[in-house]
Amino acid sequence: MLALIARSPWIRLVPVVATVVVLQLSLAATVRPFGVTVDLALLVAVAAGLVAGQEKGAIAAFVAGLAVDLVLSTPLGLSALTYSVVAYLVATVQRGLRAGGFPARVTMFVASAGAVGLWAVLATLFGRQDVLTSRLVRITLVVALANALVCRPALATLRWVFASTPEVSRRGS
Amino acid sequence: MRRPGRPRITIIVLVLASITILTLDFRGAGIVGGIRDGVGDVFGPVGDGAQRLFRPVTNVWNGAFGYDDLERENEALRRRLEGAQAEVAAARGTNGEIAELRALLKLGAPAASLPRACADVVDGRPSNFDATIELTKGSAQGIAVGDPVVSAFDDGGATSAPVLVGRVVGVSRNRAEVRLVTDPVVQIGVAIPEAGNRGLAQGTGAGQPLDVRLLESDDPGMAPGLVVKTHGDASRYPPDLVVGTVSAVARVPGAPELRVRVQPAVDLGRLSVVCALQYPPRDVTPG
Repeated sequence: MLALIARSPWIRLVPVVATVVVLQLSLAATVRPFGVTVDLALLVAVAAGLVAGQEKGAIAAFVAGLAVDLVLSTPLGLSALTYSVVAYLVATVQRGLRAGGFPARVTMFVASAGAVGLWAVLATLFGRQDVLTSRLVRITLVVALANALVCRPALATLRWVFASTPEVSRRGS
Repeated sequence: MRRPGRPRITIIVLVLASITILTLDFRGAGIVGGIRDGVGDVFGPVGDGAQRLFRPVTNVWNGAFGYDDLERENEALRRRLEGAQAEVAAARGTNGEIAELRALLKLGAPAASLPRACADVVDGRPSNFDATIELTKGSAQGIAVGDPVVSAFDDGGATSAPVLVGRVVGVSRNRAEVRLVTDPVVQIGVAIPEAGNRGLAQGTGAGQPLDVRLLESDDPGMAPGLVVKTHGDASRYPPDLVVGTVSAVARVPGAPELRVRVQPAVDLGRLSVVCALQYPPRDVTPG
């Protein structure tokens, strides 16, 4: 029974998301390249889409987004919405491409940039008036670049989380 | 065998769940706030501990990439301090007279006399779009939603006057969330004593000056450098809190109104200690 629980990707996801939240509140909040905070939950979300497929990737991204929404002052549910949609799209595009697809770093960069933009648009629709500014360009570039640079450890972590799932097995991780 | 449409159903469910949560949060549903407060109370101290753990890394980073900025800032602060010390010496003699006049005219209590709970501002910015700061004290120390928040000051106000920083918009047992004056949803009734004018100040975004709409729109006495304070009448803020100084005055094209921009009096991105004022005063002793 314990072994079964330990193999469950959702049980394994809990410490990963908790670690991401703590790192977001500590290291990411103080080490800010070009005055921009990197988005570790987004890194996990896109990596989940790349590794775990449409369904599980979207669920993992939803959990990661909701976790950071709970500890930040941003609208609760907005990151969950954005990240789950982006993870689903990433998984869908990867699935539609021939074997190999785009390099992971390229996908991570593009998906992260798209997620920041989508988040900003949705935040504006939900009443935030100070998000769509020129500063958003710098935020998008730095977040996307940072995620692309550290995507390998994120992918490795998410492969461990979803090690027992068919999607990861099929990809021969 | 998995149904081919299942991922699509899953993402639709997740989107609907997210929108539901957003709606509940937007409407201020108690359960959402309660969960958020609980999580904040757990992860807040954990985050603080992790920040202390990573401080050597942060110091190396700031030392490598922020040293020049720190040097420039240090020099600018040294110059400002010299100017402020001179102003304080000149103002010291008038504070007693002001207190006597307030008592005679039965004016509202100045901020220095209000009960207050001072707290550290949680270091760092965990989000690029945060319009708030977090304090290391909450309801257990007497802080409540709606409390105005000012920069730390001493009781006599002789060496520093309270500067309005924002207002408490969320509070849990050991944490408080403060919306800064630069947030676009914040509106403050202000007075510009030297020009004899009043208006409504509104934030325009982090790091941006506030916009002020004047009651007397065509004021020849309006000029950069004038001090802007809260007027306190029928307001959620006590009177005479410094908001900032007029940084620009421009005429709106095709209209008689003046557009006044106000630069906050403190750097809202570098706050370390602030005080939440009990206003109106309550029967709770702050900690």
